Amino acid sequence: MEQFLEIISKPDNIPIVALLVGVIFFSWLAWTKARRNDALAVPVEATLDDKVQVWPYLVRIEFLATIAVMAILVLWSVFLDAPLEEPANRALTPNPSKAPWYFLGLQELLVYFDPWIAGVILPTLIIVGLMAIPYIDINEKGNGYYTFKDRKFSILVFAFGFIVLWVALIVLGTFMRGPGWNFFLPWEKWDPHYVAVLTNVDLSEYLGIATRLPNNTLNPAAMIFGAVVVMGYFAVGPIYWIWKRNTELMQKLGLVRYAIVSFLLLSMGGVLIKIILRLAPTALGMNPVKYVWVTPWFNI
Amino acid sequence: MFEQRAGIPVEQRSYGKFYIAFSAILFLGTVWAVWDEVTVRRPWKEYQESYYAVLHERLDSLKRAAIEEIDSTDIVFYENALREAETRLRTNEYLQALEKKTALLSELDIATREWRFARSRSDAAYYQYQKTSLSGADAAAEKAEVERHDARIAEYAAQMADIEAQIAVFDTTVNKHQDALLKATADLRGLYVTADSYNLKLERASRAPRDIKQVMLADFEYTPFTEIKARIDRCQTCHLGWGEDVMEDAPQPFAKHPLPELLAVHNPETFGCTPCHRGQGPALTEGFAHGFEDHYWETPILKGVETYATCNTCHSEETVLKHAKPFTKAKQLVLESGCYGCHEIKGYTDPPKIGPVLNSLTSKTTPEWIYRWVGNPKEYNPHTRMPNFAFGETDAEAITAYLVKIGRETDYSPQRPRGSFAGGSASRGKELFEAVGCQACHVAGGYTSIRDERGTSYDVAPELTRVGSKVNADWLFDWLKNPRHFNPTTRMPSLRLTDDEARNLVAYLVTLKDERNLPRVTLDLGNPEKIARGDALIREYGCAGCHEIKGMEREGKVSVNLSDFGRKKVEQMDFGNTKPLGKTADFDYQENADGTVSVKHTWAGWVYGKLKNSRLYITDRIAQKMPIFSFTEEEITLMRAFLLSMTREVALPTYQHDFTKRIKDLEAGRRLSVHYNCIQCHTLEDRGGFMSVKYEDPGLGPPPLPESQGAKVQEQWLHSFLRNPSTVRPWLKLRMPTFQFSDQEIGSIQKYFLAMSNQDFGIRDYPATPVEAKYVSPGRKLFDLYQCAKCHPSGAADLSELSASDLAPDLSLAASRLKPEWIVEWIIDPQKLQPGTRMPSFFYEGIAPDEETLGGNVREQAKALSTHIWNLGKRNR
Repeated sequence: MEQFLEIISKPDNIPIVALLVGVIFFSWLAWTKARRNDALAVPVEATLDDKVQVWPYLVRIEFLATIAVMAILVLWSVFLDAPLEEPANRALTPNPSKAPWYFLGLQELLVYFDPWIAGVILPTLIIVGLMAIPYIDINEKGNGYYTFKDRKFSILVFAFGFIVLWVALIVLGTFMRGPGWNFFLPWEKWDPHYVAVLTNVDLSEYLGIATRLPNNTLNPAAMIFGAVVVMGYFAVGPIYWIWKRNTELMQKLGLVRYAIVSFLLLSMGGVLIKIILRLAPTALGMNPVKYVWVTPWFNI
Repeated sequence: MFEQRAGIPVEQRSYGKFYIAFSAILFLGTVWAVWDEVTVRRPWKEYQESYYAVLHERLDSLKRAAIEEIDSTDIVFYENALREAETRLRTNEYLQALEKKTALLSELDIATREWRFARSRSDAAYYQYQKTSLSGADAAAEKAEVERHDARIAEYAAQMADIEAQIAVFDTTVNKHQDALLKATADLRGLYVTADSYNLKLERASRAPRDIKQVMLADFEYTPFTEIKARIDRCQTCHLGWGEDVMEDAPQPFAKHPLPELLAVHNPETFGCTPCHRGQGPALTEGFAHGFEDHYWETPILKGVETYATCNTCHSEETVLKHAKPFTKAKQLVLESGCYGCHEIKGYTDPPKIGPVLNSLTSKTTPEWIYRWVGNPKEYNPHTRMPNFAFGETDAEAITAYLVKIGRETDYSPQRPRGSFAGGSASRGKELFEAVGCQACHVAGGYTSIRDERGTSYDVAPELTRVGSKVNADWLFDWLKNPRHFNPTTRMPSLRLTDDEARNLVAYLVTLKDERNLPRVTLDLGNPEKIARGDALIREYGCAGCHEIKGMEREGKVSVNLSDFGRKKVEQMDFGNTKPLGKTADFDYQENADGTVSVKHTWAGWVYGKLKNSRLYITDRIAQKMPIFSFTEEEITLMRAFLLSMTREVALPTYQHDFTKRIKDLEAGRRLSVHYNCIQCHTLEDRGGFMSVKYEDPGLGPPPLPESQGAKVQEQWLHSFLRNPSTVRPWLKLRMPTFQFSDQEIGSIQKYFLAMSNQDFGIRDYPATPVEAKYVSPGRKLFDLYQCAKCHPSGAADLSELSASDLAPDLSLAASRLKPEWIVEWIIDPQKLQPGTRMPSFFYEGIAPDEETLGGNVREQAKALSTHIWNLGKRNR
């Protein structure tokens, strides 16, 4: 625990602690305001009709905020020095080697996926998905006021993507990944000699289908099994469309928008499923899942 | 308050208080930041202030002491003299002369000015004349003008000379008085010379700028990315007094450096401090500069003997470092302990194996002895160099089986018929053992003074206290007569024993029995399975790293490469089942009451534990094969400093000590001198000479070998002496052994001696050295006058009158042994060539007692003496 306190109080980790506090505070703020609005027939924001000029009434507040921020930065610089580490040495890399804090979520994904997927495909999907939001969000409600009732789907999906898959993974990567990228709970000491159990198996092996044949080539049966599982998972999108295509919402959304939304949503869920497949079996005394689908070109 | 405020329309709210509060915080924060930057983060300013205060105080008190030391009567005397000189300036004689001189000087001024003007006019007139004559017109008028001016020049010049002559007359008088005053002033000032020198230092100290003192080595080392990196070093910003004599006992950080002679060749003003001491050069606060507060600084400051580890940054090829005695000792320990037998170590690529040959053992000793020895050698001989591999009974038996097998396969047999050893006298053998020099390397009969003087945890040759129960007498006789017959690469020399002497020694040594009552063991040695197991064990444990063993000639080094061990991270070290010691403990290792061991979980702690007990970190899963040495505390610390020096990071070639031919020669010789243990008896480059403790009278012990040895003896003589030592000092019972050196080894030793004396190897015809006739008869006369023969007796003289240390070699040997130039230098100043020698200097302070012969010239007289000595030898030749 002592070591955990030391880690969270390190100058380099202050942004992450601030992030944690900030995310909790603002989530709480939005949630209480949304709750209040949801209980009313008309949102509080809609009843305010007093409008003021930006100049000088907003700008003067912004000016004050600027001064406050500068004062904080100056004092920060007095108390905390730049957190420099040892000189770079390719023959002797630090253990654990960690990315900048804002990328630690992505680095954490490397535990569950191959570099090509964790480092290229998933970040690309995140950026593309964020860019697509204005085009796939057809719900006009919730403009200019806090609400949950009117935007349940978008808020839940965003909260899941941002808080669970981004912030939580950053916090995990910063505070709970120690030497050898091993997982340590806050009260455990980061032991460089820690020995972890390494017994990952592929999903197909649960059913007795070996991924590799005795001559070390891929087993086509395992490959087909993986393809069926992954494609079957992504088939949930089209099936749901066929089932619900005549509802008002689906009609309004249209096939293209639906395809994009469902693909992004399933990808997002897929990441979580893979994380659970890796972590949960250990707790149940089973072997963690390494890959669901192994092919000569990529592994998922 | 805020609710009330929320009621006010935004346009009417006042933000003045916020503005004032935030601005005040920003302003005060900025002031704080500036103050923090210039004072809190620059403690060196305070250090400099207090340094100069201490320096001022010390210099001032020294100055006052210097003034107090002046004899007050001297002051009165010189002050009176000064006053008297001043009164002389008021006499009429002086004043009148001065007045007249002054008047004449102003006259001279006027004359000089007129003379200069005349010259200027003449130059101008000459210009006009030349211009006119070149234009072809008549220039007679101009020429006349020039001549007129030239006449005036001559006139004024004469006038000036006249005035100067008059001045000179008065000058004598004026100068006489003025000089007296100057002299009196200087005399008085002369009393204050010391005080004035302190004054000068005080003034310099008061003017010294308060600034960061930085040394930059633009091209000292490489970054991990092999780019040249500058080293910035600001240690002297606080450590200001490193070279200041008066700061000798000052508190840190102001103290003077304890090794000024080392700094003379590593000047901190140009070389900085961190190349030796490490630490974070650019940092300016103690914790960061020393590197302890900065967790990420990889090279914190080194303390104590560990500081010497950095010598290897530039001197990794040398095993003797003049100003780093502890590190020299560390390197010798590594060489003598044979670490390189199992580990690859930079700078120790191919030294000879330190252990004996293990073939033919059956002719030397019994299988039972081998078995016990393999099981734990320290049990038989606690001071053996052989470490304890702690083999269990089965493994020891297997190894014995293999050794016995190869012992029976080899075809050694003593040169003499069995039983030739018989008939010696043990008491005479004991006498011989003590006199002839065996004790230099071997301990026997409880005499341990030489071992204690050496101070290492191991002996360089086996202790013989129990040898009678170990070796076979036939083998021993053969071994003593000629050790190389049994083992062609042994370091054991031959002492040129006669058969009788050897018999006596054997008779003595076989009386040294093992008094322990050991149970008999039955060994199953013929079992091929056991032999195969022994073979595997010998290979696995790397016995061939130190021993030559039949069938193991191609074995490699069994353990890790240590060449970058000094940079190993503590995370890469396994501490086994040891408990961690607190980081603040000032020791690294502790044996607990419950039998467990605690070590500090640091690099230093790990190494300490490993060297203390190499099997310390053994666990159920991790086997450890390194044998257990029994190093002393001091040896462990030294070896650890050596290991700390093992890094791949070295300084750029410009800073490396050139590995010149001379240094190569020195190194080869140093290694040989450790290998053959020359340093056990002889002091070489300040190493060794342990045997001298045995002799109260140093004249009876082995002679020292000063650095001038190479310049002293003739190459041919040294060669034949090393090959087959001849008697130089007949009164010694101690013998220089015959080491049976190879020609190459003799060459190495010769080059080593020559390199120490800064001479090159060359072949000279010494007998053909010319003798100058003019020195012959003065030489003979001086030889008798200075009574050389008193201590240097010739062959047949009676030696009983003098003590051994007053005796000196027969001078008739000199012509075939010594270099003629050396004899001259030796006679002039023996102490310079060999500090502490009993040879007296006849020329005290460079003055010859005989002032007549050869004009009393010291060098000439020395040449004459050397000529005579040379002739003495020639007659003998």
